[in-house]
Amino acid sequence: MLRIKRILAALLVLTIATAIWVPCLHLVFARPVSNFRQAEGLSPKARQLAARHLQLWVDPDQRQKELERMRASNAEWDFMGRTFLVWSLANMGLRDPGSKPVYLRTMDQIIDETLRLEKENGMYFFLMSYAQPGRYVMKPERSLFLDGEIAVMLASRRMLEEKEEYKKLLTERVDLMTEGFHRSPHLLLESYPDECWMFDHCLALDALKMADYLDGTDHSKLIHDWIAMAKLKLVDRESGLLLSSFTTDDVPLGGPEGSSLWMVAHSLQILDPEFAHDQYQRARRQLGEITLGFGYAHEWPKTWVGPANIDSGPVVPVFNISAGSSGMALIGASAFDDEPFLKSLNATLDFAAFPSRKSGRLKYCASNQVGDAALLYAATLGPLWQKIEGAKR
Amino acid sequence: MSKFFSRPFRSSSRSGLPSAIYLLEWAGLLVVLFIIAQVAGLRSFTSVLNGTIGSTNMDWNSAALLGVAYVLIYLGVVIVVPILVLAALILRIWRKILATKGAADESRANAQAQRG
Repeated sequence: MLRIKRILAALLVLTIATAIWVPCLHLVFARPVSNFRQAEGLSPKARQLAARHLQLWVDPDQRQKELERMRASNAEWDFMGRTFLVWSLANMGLRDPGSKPVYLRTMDQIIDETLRLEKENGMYFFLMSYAQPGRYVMKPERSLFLDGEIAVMLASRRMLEEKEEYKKLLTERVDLMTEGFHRSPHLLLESYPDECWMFDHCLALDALKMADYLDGTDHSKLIHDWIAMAKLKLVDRESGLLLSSFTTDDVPLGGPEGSSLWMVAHSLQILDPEFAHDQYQRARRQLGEITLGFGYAHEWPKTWVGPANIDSGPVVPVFNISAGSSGMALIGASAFDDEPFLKSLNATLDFAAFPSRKSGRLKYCASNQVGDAALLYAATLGPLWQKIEGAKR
Repeated sequence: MSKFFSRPFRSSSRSGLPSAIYLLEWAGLLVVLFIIAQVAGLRSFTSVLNGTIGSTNMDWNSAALLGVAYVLIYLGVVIVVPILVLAALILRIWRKILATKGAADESRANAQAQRG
């Protein structure tokens, strides 16, 4: 009897202690938003993340090790880690002109090596293995995933400082994409065989917009027509969110997925600001959550049932937390100045992504190079888009 | 070790409450485990959370196991240890209240007995 009384007393004090501690836990990890992103200059976290990436590009052995780990799971991550880093460095150069020479040198190194690898090994080098046995509908075979992101890389570099050699390379990519769009009956281009991605289309259109800014071309009609088509055919009726993937005949393949949508909303900011804002607000309501001070995101809205995949990362049951969507949500929250969500996402990042600091360099152990590069982008984005928006006004 | 963890809910006083020390011992064990995991470099294996192998010199299952073990120990330290410490504190306060109340009851009973 006494033993039962003691067990009950122990359970009672443990319950009280849990009720006190759990709601307070986020306070240990919560930091002001300015620690992650600042309106001007670089935040402490951006500097630390960047220091680690810059170090990787002067240490080939360490870089090789990091890339091998990622390529063992997904070759795309090797490519996207490069692109997110180049876009981040362009924004950093505009925020911190004093360090521009270092950033430019690294950007050129990344771009040149990426182009060399693509030339030597073909586009499949940066694609997941299922691309090879498939047959592309459009000929010649091209991946909009590579063309779009390489074009944005080249344009970002040129927006920080002009480089004549890259002007021709950008024009070539832009022309290839534009011709592709004109030849495609539904204005849809493949990233994988008969598999088109919203993420890749929006970035490709960003590249066209950036080329217009840099070279005085005019792709506004194509951009306008494509967005009008997307609003009509590529929106999930129930959630109002853009679909993530579809065939060249605009048949949906994947629903609205968080790991794509946050970046898509950001990318739409220079294409159609109102639509971008609408997509972010919808994603925030249907995918974003803040529980006990910790922010996170789902991969799918409640109205869509989808499986966990390589993009979503493992999904934590009960709360349906997607690592991929939560990481990319930082880009959305940062792009749309959603401070409460950004602050709570950052608390989760420092709680559950296992930061590791060494000699002023920061990496998240639960992440990888591409994940950390996307975080760096979230911490630095802004100036590139502002330049284009400023020119428009 | 035989003494350590030997008193699950044994009370050291007459209050009938479980031992606060017992909870603190568990908290201490979790902290020690965490220090060992940290020094052993298991933190880097948490990349399993995004589907990246912690080390290319190791097979997937072993690397994933190390990553998951680190996550559990870390959650133990960040969530469970403070709860155990708080619970131990609450027990101490509870015991003090009971002891004060017991002493008051005893002196009241003694006074009544003397009067009787």
